[in-house]
Amino acid sequence: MSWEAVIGLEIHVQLKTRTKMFCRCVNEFGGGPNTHTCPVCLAFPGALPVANKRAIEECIKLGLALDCEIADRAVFHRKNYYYPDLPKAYQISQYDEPLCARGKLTMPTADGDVTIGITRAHLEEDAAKNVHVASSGRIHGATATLVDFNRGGTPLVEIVTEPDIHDAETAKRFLQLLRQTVVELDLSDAELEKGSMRFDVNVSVRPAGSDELRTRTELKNMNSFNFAAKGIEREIARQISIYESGGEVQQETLHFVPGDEESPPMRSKEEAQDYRYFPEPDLVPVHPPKDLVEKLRGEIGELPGARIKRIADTLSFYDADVLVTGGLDRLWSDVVAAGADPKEAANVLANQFVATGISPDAVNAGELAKLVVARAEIPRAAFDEALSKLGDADFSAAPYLEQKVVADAGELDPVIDKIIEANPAQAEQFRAGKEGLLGFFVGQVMKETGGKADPRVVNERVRAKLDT
Amino acid sequence: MTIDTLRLTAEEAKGLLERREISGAELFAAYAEREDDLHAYLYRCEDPGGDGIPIALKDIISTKGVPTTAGSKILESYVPVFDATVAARCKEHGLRLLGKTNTDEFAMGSSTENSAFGPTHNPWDPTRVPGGSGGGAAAAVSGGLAPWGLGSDTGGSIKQPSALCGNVGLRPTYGTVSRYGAVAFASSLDQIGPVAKNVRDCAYLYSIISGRDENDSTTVDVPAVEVPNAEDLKGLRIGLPKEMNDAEGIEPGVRDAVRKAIELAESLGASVEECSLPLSVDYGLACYYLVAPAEASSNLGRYDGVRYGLRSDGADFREMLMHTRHDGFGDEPKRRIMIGTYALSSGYYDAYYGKAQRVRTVIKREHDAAFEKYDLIVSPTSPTVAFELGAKTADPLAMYLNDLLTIPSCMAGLPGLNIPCGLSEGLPVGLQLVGPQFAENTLFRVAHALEQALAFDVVPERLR
Repeated sequence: MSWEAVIGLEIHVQLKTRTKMFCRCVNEFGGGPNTHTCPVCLAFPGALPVANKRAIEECIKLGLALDCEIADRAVFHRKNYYYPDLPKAYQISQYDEPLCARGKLTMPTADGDVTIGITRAHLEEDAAKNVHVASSGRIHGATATLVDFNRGGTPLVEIVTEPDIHDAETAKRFLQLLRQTVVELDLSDAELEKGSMRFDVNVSVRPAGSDELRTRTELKNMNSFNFAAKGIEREIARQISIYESGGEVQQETLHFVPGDEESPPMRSKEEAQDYRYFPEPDLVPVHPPKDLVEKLRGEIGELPGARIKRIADTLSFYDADVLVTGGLDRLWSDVVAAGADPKEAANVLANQFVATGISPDAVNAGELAKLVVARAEIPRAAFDEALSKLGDADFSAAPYLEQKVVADAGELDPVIDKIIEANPAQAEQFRAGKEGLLGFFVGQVMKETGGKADPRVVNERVRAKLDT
Repeated sequence: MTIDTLRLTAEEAKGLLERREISGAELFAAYAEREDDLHAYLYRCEDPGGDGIPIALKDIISTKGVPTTAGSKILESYVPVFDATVAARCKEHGLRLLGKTNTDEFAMGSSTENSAFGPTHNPWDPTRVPGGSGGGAAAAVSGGLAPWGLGSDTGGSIKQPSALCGNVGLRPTYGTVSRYGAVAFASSLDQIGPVAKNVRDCAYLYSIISGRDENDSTTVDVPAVEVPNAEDLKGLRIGLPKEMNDAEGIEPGVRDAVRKAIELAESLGASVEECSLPLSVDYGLACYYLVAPAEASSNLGRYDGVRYGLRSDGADFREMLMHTRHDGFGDEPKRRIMIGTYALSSGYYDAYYGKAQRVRTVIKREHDAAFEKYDLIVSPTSPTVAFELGAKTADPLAMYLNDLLTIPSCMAGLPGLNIPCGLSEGLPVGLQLVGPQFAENTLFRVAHALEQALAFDVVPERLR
């Protein structure tokens, strides 16, 4: 039997508003433990929440970018449960009247558009951070728990998708595209390592062609897009093997541990919480004014999905996707506008520039364009060095353009001869058919010439000489 | 000069201070040095200096640097790092804190017997309760231990103790006084309000504490408060809801005193007519005892032993949490947490909390309709005068019925004011005036005129 996976995502994005969601504490990553706290976010008796207007606007903006309907009336609810990192014993969240609902994100793929439904995007507060004190650093085996309330009350947007995704790769690409959207709207750093973007994945499988929804499991704690893809693949395989051996999948939450082969269960259905949701009586319902919604809509530029489609008209879909989700496409457009070849520019940006870690915003596109145009004539080493300096405010391509690559066979042949002579064993092996050794010789020549030789010419000459 | 703390009003005290007939220190000492044989206070303060009028605050109200226990063992060691908005506003007006008054644990009760620190006694008869939950503040004001005070009212905790102690208590319109810093019981019902010896003091104190607060999203701007002077009630239309004036359980003595007050109102020019609030009275109490415990079950979740207050030992968080709450909460909070948790649990929400909230809308509408015909409605505040200590502690339902007449207007978010209107068996009887939203000025005007005509002596007979 063939199987189809059904995947839904739940994404949390921390907003980078100046203050927290329901108090005036600074909303900032880091700081000494419990330094960004007040009676409200420590839940002292009698303290009351006041909703952050800016956070409401940003949630609406993200909702609009995800093509959601913005509610005329949205309500905060209390989600009640006991945990040391939740000082009020309830999280203020949204329940049946969220700010944004019924949206979609259209994701271009090599085979055409895939549309993922957005069930809702709502606003809530983040929990504080439990620090489990144990040598392993893991929850299992911890001996004590300390709580840092700095993160408690950070504004969070929760985005829930419809179960419209059927493979790990699409899930991964959706997450990347969503992240890029959030970053471009300037709502969040959305940095996975810092936890300012987090996601949970719901996975079930069913016989291909069926439209039933079987028992799903929830995967948590995946802090990279690749882990998400890997976790999903692993979970799909696990569920299929359970069904194929005549078993039943249990509803449970699984804790993803990157190195491990299995995801240990965190809690099963029997332990599922009854959150006793009810409307938060300390806050009044939110009624977003129409003109505010339209103003926010006007602030949204061309979104990443649309740009991938537009750029894919010029480049391959793959290149367009890499440029846009890497946040490189605006620089690419500028570099192309300054005279560089589109494909060449894309290659340089996606392969070499991205490795420098320099922010695209810091780059003078005109100077970069000059480098791209002259790429073949500049020694490799000089080109690499130029790229690494692109972030400098006064960067100029001129000194690098003056350095010319050595492409003259007459100049290169003596060096090549010397290298072959010094490595007779390798030369013998190459002649005996070990083609891979070509790279060794080219590398030696490049090294000998200080990176100034034209690799294409060296390649050609080495082969010619060894073949004789 | 000697200061008669039993009789001196805040307004009179202000006059004495302004005319420099007494010093601020003398005034404060007059209250502070009086023996608290009623156990009205849980904590008494040193004179902070200055020459403002002293005030007592119910121990539900957070006071920076001064213990705030909410009458609970779980907060026995808790000292707030911030002032409640009402406490801050009192300070801004120079009012000096005399102390924190006793309360039923987390304001849950009608007799102050649920305080973890022992009951308060009624100044008229120390064998009887002062009402609750704000029995401490009411006893302090009537017992000469404070010129005035602030209480909190969820289902009658200001009005009912004022009735049983024979003073003036206002539960303001929901949203007119900030709840910021008041230990929460039931957020959609809790309101802070004044307790005083007369209506003018009550109005003045209300003017100090009321108004929008950026720390409480549910607050609104309030019409300017008028300290009343009126002596007649010409043109006033009073409605007498028959369900609240003829309810089962109203003592004959209470009924008589209230009837006389109403006749007096008529003689002052008011027109009085019987009206009806059938649903509000039939369903008010039942719905209140779903809404309030439901919200309480959530509001009391924060007492987990992690950050402040009591912490009992336990092998892990779960165990520490359970031991702390087991040791820290008394029976009444535990009872309400259980009821409330049940009422909010999945599958029961619609039938209980959801439905009770919808009934509130019905109660509100029924009151709105009455206020199309009447400027205010009148009834006894409490069906009985002060009862003996211990008389109802074994029967929570009998205790809950004390609030039968105060709860409907609380559920509708409406202002209600108690004034003493006579005695029954030597104990004060309270008259409840309820108006439409933001009608505090009407309540003050009418209550003041009645107060003048009734000439009730607020000093307990045994202390005169």
